[in-house]
Amino acid sequence: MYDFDVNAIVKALPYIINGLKITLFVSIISSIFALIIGITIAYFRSQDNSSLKPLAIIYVEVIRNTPLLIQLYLWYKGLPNIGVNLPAIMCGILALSIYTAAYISEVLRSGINSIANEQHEAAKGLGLSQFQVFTLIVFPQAIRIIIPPLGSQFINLIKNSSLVSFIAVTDIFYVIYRESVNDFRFLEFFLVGAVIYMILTGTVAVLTNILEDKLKIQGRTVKI
Amino acid sequence: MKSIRNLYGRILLLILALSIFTGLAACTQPKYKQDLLERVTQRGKIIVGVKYDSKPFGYIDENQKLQGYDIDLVKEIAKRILGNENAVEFQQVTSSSRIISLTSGTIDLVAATMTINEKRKRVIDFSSPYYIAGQALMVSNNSKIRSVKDLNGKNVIVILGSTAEDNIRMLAPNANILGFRTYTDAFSTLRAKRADALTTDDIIIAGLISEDPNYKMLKERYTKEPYGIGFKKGEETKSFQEAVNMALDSMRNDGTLEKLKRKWMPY
Repeated sequence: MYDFDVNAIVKALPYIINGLKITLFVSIISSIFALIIGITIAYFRSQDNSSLKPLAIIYVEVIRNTPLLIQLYLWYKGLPNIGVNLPAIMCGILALSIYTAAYISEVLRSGINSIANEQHEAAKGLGLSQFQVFTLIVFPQAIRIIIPPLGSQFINLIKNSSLVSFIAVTDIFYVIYRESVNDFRFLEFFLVGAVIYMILTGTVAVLTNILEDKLKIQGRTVKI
Repeated sequence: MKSIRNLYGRILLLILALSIFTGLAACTQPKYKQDLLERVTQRGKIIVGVKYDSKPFGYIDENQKLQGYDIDLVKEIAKRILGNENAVEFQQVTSSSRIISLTSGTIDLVAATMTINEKRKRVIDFSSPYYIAGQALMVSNNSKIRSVKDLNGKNVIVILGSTAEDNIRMLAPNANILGFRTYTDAFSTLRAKRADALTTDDIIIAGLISEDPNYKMLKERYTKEPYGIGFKKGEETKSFQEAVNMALDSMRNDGTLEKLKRKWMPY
């Protein structure tokens, strides 16, 4: 029988908690940025006559079709070559939010496309501007449909945040990896790591479900 | 069904036990063992295990020739014992294979960047130390860092899973430590000017510097890793060990070891 060493975990607990703080910080800040950038991109992509539409398409395709690790290294090791030296944690947040924003904007776009075209026309007929159509008519309905896939994007972001350990940001994965190679207790530390990530992502999943429920009920009362 | 499985289990166990016993018996069988020094003199050459991939101690150069500190060292020993520096047959060993190659008797001695420690001393014998390696600092040529004392508040790169991290935390408690998984990752981060110094064993730094002359190694070493020549344990190797140790002593006294160090580790 494998002798599971709980002591190794207990001894490393202060480091694990510090790592958890960093992971939470990176994930929360990146989520906020990703949502803001994602909505902006989705808005420009939904505007047929906008000159920014091609840029939005290029953004999504470039970011979505390259590995996050490459983007992370570009921020961290590539930019210093041209004299830009951002702190490692900022590189992590930038890479994560820009990467996730591309996915979020695609999710939003699918929601926006599901809103019937008649609504656009009706809204325009009432004299609303293009921006008002988006913020007052399309977006509130779209967001309700896309809550579940949006939640998945935030869950992915939390899991992807473990990649910042590659640029020596001392997040939970960095701590787990360091402690396990120092102690040769891989099973213990990586299991604990898996559980911690599961608690973080599970929380997001639960919040998503609650939010979905709340918005759904409102939707029905309006519909009747 | 169960009894059949039991039977199989028992037969397997029996076979296993038998093979272990016969194996052990073969090992302990008292047979005449020729003195190693005699055998080496008769054979006219020493069979040596060296590394082929550890620049600058043992490596294959651009001309496919075996080169390095350990190679020169062993040639010098052959010269002093057998009177001919080419009376050596080299065989490749790795960190994980070098001890088993010794104990199985396929080679006479090992000179392969092996640190003398208690754990290994239980299995093999060591010569007196012929080289003292140690943890060192690597910085860029124009760096202002002169010693480990200048590291406080600086970014220092370590390889995760090495003893270097604990050492540097003790010596420079206020240094900011960045851990990476591989040497290439660590070195490329230093090259990207993400950190002020990198710390690991001096021989690894020597290898890295040989690829990029924009970096240098500081003189200071803050751990001691004495390298020794390894021998198989046993009465029959005693006189050979003595001969090698005498050769090493004379090389230490006449400055040959120092010369070798200056040739291969001039940092």
